[in-house]
Amino acid sequence: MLKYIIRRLVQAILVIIGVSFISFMLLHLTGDPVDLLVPLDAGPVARQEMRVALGLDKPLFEQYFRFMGGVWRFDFGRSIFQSSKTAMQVVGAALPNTLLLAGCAFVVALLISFPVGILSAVKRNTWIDRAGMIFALIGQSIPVFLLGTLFVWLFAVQLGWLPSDGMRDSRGQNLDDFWDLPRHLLLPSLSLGLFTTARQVRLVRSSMLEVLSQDYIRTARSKGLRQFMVLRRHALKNAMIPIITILGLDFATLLSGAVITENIFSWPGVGRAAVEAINQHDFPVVQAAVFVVALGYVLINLMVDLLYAYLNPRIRFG
Amino acid sequence: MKTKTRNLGLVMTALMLLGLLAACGDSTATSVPATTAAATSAAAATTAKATTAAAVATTASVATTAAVVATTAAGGVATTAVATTAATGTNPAVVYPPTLAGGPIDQIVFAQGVDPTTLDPNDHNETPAGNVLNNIYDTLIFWSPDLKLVPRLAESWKQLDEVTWEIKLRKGVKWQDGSDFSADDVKFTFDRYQKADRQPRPVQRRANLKSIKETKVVDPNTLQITTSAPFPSLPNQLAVEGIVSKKYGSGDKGDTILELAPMGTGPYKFVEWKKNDYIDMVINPNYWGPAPKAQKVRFRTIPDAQTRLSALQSGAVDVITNVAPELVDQLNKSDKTGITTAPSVRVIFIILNSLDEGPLKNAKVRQALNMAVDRDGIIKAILNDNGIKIAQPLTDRHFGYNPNISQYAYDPDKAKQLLKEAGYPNGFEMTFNFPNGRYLKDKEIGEAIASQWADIGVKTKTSSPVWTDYVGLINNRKQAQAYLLGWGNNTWDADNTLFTLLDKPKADVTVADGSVYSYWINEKAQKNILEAKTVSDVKKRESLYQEAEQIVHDDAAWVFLHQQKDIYAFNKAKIKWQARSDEALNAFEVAAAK
Repeated sequence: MLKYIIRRLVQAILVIIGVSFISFMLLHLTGDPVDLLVPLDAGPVARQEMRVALGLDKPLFEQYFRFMGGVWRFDFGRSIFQSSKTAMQVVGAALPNTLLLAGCAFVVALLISFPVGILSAVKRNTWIDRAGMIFALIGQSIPVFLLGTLFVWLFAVQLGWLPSDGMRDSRGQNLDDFWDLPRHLLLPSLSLGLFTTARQVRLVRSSMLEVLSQDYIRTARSKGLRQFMVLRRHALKNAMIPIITILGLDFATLLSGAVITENIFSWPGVGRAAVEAINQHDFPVVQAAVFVVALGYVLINLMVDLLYAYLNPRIRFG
Repeated sequence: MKTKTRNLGLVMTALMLLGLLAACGDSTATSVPATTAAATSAAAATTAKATTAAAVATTASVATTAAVVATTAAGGVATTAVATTAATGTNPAVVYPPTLAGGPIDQIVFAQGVDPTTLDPNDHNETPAGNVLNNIYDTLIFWSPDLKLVPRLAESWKQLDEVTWEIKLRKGVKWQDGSDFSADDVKFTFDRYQKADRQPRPVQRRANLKSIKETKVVDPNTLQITTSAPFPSLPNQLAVEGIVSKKYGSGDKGDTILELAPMGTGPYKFVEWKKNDYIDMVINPNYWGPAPKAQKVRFRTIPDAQTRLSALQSGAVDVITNVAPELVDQLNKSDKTGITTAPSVRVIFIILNSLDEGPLKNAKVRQALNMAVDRDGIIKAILNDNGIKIAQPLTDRHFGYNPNISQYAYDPDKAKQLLKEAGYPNGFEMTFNFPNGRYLKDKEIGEAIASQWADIGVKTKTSSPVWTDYVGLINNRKQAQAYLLGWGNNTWDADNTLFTLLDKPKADVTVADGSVYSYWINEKAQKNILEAKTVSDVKKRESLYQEAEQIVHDDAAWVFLHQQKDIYAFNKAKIKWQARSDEALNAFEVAAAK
């Protein structure tokens, strides 16, 4: 078990190094931020001035070593455009908002996919099952931006039940209202979460089906256990193992899917900060954002792997 | 799954994430930077029925968070009527800011597509940031809504000689922190522009005032500015540079404070800035001008154009920018939302390479290309009538505009005739670049023109590089033989357009001389453009520019397309407001609806 953990840790570190390297290279090879920092008609002298000031005139490798040195301290340098903040501060300020959104989307996905998936598996081939699968198909087929836009149009403009966008009240009122934040969270979480919900429904269903066809389930039933106890005590736990693995990947995916949702719903998260930084070629902020998301991926998968090992004795002792 | 495979999967996913982020950054669709480019491209409004308004799918307008708007501008003189007083500036005929009629408004919420990266008025080139800051900071000179130069912090200004200006400042003005405004503050502000070794980098607007050699404080209300060369349009430039407080902005932390917590002499005081969310301000009780109606102002950032619209329709915001042309009808039909448009400062055109060997060297060919474009059709079909044909590089609000130049007619037969006379009866081939998502409907317009040119036998090889690459091609002198560009000269003075775009072409990318955009040589016109830079006599300057404009038109240096119209929408049950050509969102111009 210990060897397993250590191996996973080392692999995680290697992944982080690789991602940092690639993000550094891609950024530097795809454009000159100076073009955006000076007016279009500024001329080569102004450009060079800016370039030197930002250290962009140094050779690529020197820039890279300075960069790698900083990565371990979570130091990506100053933002080029928001010069009073470090890149990590820019990303760090936005990160809690994205975690909140991704977390809620994740919970929404769980709350819907488990009951629907289990029900579909148990009532296999009935209309309930069919309805569940059609829901899954639709959910996976509609792109996030269309879903989000439709939700806003329906619930905010036509019905007026929910706010159109943003994290808190658009005019800065109702700040003491406890329900203000949840009201603003609802539509974006739904939009973001429905895609993974659809996929999870299928997964839960197929995993449950596989488990339900096992011998020990038949044994439990023949012992006289009620359906509910069968499901809870025996089926679900074993079905969870593959589900958890995918859930981990899903949560990490939510972090990146949040980019589009954050733009549709004006959610001030990492996705928006990253897109803005990419458009401006604010290198340090882009690298910080990519690093944070990659780190999130790696950590979550590490946790999932460890959880997996814990749940599945075959791995733990194998 | 084996761990090796899984790790490979992780790396691949991370790569795809990067790719997705990069792609989103470059993607088509709405790119607000061009300020007016609302461009929800792929407006799938087939039947444009109100019920399916939401179906105007903003193709993952991720790119909207874009951009630093390079509104390449300097300042600009107003219309020709002001000519006589441009060099000795005051314009007592115009009273501005206006004292508005009607009752108070509790709060106005403006929604823009891009969040400012900084609130330092000297350190950005973004229209959205400028819009916010124009409510908090004063410049020395105002642009009135019809683009006349009007006193602001400067009561009057005059030229003492070719390179020296004297500016008399308004008395009794107080900073929002209670201290007194004086000429020292102006000197402090302009000196900030001069610092080449400022950390971490020089202020972004540095190039705008590079002609200023020295700012001298004569007395607390009088300033003298010396320029290194004659700079007749200095007042135009001063109309867009905000003045900061010396006391507030000095010291080690000065730059940081200015970036995060603006403090000016304007009608509104800064309250709070939540990045990518909102900027709050409240009325300044010590403002030197007439009190505005709105007590509180908030600028929100809503990157997605459709969401902006929904926010307006659901009453969450009061004014939205960059409305797509196809939504105008729907918004007009509602009795809550109204539309206001303004002729944009931005014009769209195609630069033709008449420098290098090829068919484009012949003026007849260039004229033919102009005549082959059906601009009325494009404006009607692609822009929903939100465009104005142009026949010259300047709009009618720019100083130097020549009202006597007539449009190229849409005449494909005549165009073919001209090609034949030039020796190309069967047409020819050339390269043609246009951006995608930088300007309103740029891709659709480019494609339409390519097909119209094909109709007269000119086959084009088209390409739409990503905007940063597009700029790179311009700067490295590697652009296509015909390339589409937009230019928003909000100095409102011919120099920033004609000199920057139509001066002699740069001989080499490393040389400072010459224009990097220009691929056209004409002795007379370019001599005029250079001469006008130094002439102080307003009438003489104007006629130099007008002559140059005529030549540029007749010689068809460009294919002249159109001037955009900026479209805004607002809550007409609550407020009354007219959009401005300089894209400003001045809360002190907004009155209550009743």
